[in-house]
Amino acid sequence: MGRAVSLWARATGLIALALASQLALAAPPVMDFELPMIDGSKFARLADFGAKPVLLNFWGSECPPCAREMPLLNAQAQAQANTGLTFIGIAVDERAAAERFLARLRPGYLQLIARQQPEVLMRRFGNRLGALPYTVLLDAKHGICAARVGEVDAAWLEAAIKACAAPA
Amino acid sequence: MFRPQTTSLALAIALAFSHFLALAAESEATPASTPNSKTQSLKSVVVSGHASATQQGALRDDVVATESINAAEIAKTGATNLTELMSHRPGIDVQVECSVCNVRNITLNNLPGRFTTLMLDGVPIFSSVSNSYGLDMIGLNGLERVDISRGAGSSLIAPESLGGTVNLVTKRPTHDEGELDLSAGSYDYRRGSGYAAKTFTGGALTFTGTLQKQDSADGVGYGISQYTGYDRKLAGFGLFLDDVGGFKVKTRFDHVDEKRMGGPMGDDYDAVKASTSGNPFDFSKGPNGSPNANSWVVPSTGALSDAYNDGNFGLAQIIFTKRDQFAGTAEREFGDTKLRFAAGYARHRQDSWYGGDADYFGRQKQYYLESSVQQPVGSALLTAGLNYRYEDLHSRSVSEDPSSPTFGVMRTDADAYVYRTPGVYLQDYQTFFDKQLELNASLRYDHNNVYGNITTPRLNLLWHHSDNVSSRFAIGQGYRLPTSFFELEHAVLSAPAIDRSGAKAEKSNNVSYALNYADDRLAVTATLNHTTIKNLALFVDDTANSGNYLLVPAASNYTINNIDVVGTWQITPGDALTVGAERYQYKFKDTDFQGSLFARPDYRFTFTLDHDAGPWDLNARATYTGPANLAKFYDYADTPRYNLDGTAKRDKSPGFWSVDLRAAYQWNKSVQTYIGINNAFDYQQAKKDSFLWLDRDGNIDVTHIWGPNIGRTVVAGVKLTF
Repeated sequence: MGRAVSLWARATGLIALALASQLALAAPPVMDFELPMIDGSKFARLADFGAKPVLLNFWGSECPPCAREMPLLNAQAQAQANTGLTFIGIAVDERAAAERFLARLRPGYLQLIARQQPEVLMRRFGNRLGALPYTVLLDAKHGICAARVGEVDAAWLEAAIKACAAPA
Repeated sequence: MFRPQTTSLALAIALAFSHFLALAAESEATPASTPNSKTQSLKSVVVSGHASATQQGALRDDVVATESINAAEIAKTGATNLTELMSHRPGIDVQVECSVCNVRNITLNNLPGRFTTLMLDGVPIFSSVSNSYGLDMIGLNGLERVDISRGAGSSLIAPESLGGTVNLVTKRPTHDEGELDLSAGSYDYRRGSGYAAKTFTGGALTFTGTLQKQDSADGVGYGISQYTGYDRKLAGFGLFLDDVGGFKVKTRFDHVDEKRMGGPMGDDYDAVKASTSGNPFDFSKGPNGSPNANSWVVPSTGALSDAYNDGNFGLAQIIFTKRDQFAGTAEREFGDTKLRFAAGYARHRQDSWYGGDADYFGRQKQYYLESSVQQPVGSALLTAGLNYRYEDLHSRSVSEDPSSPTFGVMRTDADAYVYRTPGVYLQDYQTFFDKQLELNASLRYDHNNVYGNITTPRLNLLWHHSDNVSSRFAIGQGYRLPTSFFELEHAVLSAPAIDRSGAKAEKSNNVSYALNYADDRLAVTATLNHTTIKNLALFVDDTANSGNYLLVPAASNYTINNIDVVGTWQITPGDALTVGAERYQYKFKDTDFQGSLFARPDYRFTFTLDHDAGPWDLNARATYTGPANLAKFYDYADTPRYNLDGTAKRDKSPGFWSVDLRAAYQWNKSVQTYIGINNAFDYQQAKKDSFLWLDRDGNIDVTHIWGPNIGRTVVAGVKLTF
């Protein structure tokens, strides 16, 4: 048994190194995600939203500026409902805490949750600090058009939407 | 020899502080950064959250490989204290060191538990004394997360962490909230735990409190406990102030009051102390039990021993602990410069009644002071700091061993020590290749009043292969000042004195490598570690020659090489599977360690399935623990161990499974009910191999440990959230 485990450990190490080599040489990150809905009902991918601009707002339940900016984002989401701009909230949190937070603030737009190693996801969307809140607007090709670390205000949000999501 | 005095040290720290304050006066406050992590200034934005890896296999975004367990993950485990939380994670485990008193330590990379440094909000305020019984008393209420870093030198401020560090990070509440958790279960388990937070402009207050008790457990009918009963009371306060002269202040105070008794069953301490004759136990029970209920077979002769006649007294261990501890930090940023002050205080009192050995009353005090400044200099981010650690132990003891030359004699400070250790440190953090490579190099210099000058360097590298793949390499040294508390040998209390003249600081060399892969649904980390401990401290019974116990370094090194892999895969939106595997190689000359090392397994596998969707949160965890080489760890070559029927103890422990199940249902936003079943298949070491063992001459001991010491337990409760 011990010999088998030793072989297993060595094999695992080799596989891990091979995997790392392959991944290190992988192509640049694709601007996509695959995250669970906050109620655990299904996964959502960025690609599901087609060739339309998307606003991603990363938040956490223990983050006061995240709570402060959410009503503004919700109002804008309603105002932009017919423009093709999709608002998506991404909770960088545990589900129970995130659900309590949402029950308090009741935003009307889609909410997903990032639990695995969210720094990786945030780095992919331009947030190398991993700080919250973080808001990023993606253009219709899902490239980063505007991003802001920290609480957004109405002026920034309107300007960003105008720059990134206005109809051509 | 240079012996820094407290006053001169205080002056030095005051001077350092005054420099910082002068610097502060010249600067304008703007948000900046955190030590020991990647930093970057953010101006004119309000940021108060930070992404945090939480699943097994995920690492925090730090140069030092650090994994976190956050409050929700803590709840999923059903753990009520730190030792319960630390079980069953690859590279991390809890070692029970005594079957009747349940001393439990947290082991990292399977190194002895005393090499794990515990910190409260980055303040190291635990010692060998508090690690013995104190870890069971560390509640988990009000925590934001627990960070675990493995490897020597994993903390800049805790050089004694030869195995690594466990840092409890207190949650700074952002809104008023409260939680009440009431539960009951097997062995008359009762627990009530509360947490309340009140926020106000510029700060917050918190209160935590826990009442918890459980009866002792005897799985085979000896009448001798394998799991110690306890009655535990915890209370804590937290104060958080966002702006005290520009400083963000975080403080917590905790009080612990615990009574526990092992050996005889029940909790009538006075009756047990009064029972000094006769045999209340049955030594014929259990595997390889004695042919006679009142005695056992003396291995060297094959004859029955004299009938046991020491009553409940003979095997009782009654331990009353009271502890007060404080940890506080204050941080302020001036432009790109960051100042940090930290202070800690602990007063630990332990009244222990070791029937047959000694009646022991120990008092310990610890102080910790730290100041540091972090400043960008060119492309480097430098952190320079001073800290001062004070730790003492004073005791009174009366030997209860009639064969001891000190029987009945009150002794003062038989195991006392006073350590004063001022230290300075410097750390350089830099990035290269457009931040693809991060480097963190540091050097500590400490001066201890007993062990002299000690220098410990470390180097950490983080290489981002891609957004998803990273490598962390660490090489470093640590040291620990050996303590003479009975952590290694209760019998020292029966010796006239402890001779420490030959002791040396325990030192370690560690090299580790961690490969991490993470995407939106998968996080995997593979870790390789090599650790060598030099001068591992041993208590040697020299009563036949000098009459004393000796505290001496082991004659050779203790080396552990280990590899572990752990990963969590989000299978469906509501289901996650965690798989872990770890393999260890122990290199040591068993005769040099005289059985002082507790047996650790050769390998272990863990599987966890978590369903978290809708109102249900279901968690199943299975752990397979491989065999441990008992003959080597317990040095059978010099001190063979025998069962109560005179047969030899097995050389290797068997592998075994343990399975824990937990289900929680959220009725509404305020009410959750839960049920947990630990050790569901009721695997107990005592049913395979007794914790009791005999030496050649038929002397009995209680430290033959390799498996679970309590069988299946069921706990059910309700959690109210406000």
